[in-house]
Amino acid sequence: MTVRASLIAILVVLAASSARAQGDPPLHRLQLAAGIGFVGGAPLGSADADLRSTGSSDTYRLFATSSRLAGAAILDLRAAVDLTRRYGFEAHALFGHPELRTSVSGDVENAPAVTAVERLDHYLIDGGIIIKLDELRVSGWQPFAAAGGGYVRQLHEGLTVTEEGRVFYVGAGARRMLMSRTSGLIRGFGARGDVRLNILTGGITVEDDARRHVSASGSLFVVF
Amino acid sequence: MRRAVTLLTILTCLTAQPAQAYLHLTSSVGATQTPLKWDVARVRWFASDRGTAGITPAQLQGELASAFATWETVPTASIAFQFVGVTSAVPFEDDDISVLGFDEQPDLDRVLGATTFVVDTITGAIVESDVFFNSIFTWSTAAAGETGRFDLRSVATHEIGHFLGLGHSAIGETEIRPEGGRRVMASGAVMFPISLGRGVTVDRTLQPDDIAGVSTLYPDGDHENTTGALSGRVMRNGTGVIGAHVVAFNPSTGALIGGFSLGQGGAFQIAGLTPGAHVIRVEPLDDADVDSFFSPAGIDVDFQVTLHPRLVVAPTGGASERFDVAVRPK
Repeated sequence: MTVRASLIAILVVLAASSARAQGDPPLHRLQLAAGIGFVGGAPLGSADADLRSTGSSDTYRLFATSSRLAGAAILDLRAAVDLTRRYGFEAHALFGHPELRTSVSGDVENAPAVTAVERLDHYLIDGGIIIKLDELRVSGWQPFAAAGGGYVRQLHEGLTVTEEGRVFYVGAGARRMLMSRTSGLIRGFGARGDVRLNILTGGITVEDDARRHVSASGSLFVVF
Repeated sequence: MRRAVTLLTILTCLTAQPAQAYLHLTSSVGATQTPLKWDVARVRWFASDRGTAGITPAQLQGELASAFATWETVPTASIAFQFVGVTSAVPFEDDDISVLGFDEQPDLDRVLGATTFVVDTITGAIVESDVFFNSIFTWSTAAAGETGRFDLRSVATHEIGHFLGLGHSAIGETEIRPEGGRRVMASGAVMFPISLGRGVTVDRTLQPDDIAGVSTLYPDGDHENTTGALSGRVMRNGTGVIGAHVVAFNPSTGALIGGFSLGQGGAFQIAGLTPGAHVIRVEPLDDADVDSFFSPAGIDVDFQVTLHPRLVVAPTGGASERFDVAVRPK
């Protein structure tokens, strides 16, 4: 909420100045963006609570579990620089508060099935390139593709246990300058939308397989 | 001053006994209950010079050495053993040496083995512990087990768990036989009180519940700083449930580790857990006679098996905030 309020204040200042809506962010200028969005859930894997039976390879299931990281609203922060007319670089941070949900069923003594939950703190920090696709521009919106990698940090409820992992992503989006000017500390502002496919390894999981999370966000950005 | 007191006899049975997840035995020192454990860096033991049908004294010694090594090599525990020699002394004599060997006990016709202790009544430390294996049964030392014979190393591993101060584990399932008694269908700990049967060798390998039990009793290095504990209460209609069996399951590791709500107001604590989220399952101890394990006074079995609707996190190097598991009457 604090970030959103600051952005609104900046927009008011820019609107009061002699601004114009046009073009793309100037090269080599820092762009700071803040937005909100949603990250989709993903299955984390299944694990049975097994006992040993009479044979060395025989197991006897006490109950079964299947875990999933639920989807959650996210706060998105970005810092970007356009290096050339085609390429840019951006660093990105994401924070969410998703639920870890473990469905427990098939109890050998018929205990009613439950979905046991806890709420996590989910942080993601990454960096990568942006490829601007000017040839696909529509109504002033400049499409782009993005790819990169980074670091995932997840904290269990109570914030006492941390799990770390890695993320690789590919994505696409579009952005548009809403106003710009040629002088002053703030050179303009705009809006952007992002969709990403995040491939996560490590972190909180049951099976070691990589898992896919789709995220989408909308942001406002300021050019300095 | 040391006074020799035979404190406990722990039995391994053929037919079902009630079960406990890992539990530390205790002795009374004054008004205090003290965990029953050795207070020496290296525990000395003797092998009996008696064999039994199909088992030579040398084979007995070899199987015992392997079973001791199984506990000694737990990386998170610090206990160590020393084989002193073969003796003509028999188990269960108060002779200041710990003897393990065969003995014929036809009156204990459902008992494979048993462990006794002599305890220092001032410190509560074990000063002597003997283990006997009942030679009325047929035994095997075959690597893959032998049909119709009990695996000596498996039973020895169980009894040496008692020798160290561990009680029985309740992680297991039994069913009532039509002809009477119980049959064990599965277990999740070497310290489960009932043998999986003749020809089965799986109890040569310790399970997470066994490892947590011995590591909490004899912690090595950073064990206490790198593992976590869960603390809670089992409640029914706002009243604590005494004697409930509580199992923590970590989906990431597959480990099942248990405890009991034996504290005031139905309190329990399960230590030695890999930090992270755990599924909690609570069940009554209603598979067999409760008094085979602890005093039946106040033990409550009148509630349904319950899965807790919250994942509970064992923090690194500490205990979780206390949580309540609500159970309903049967």
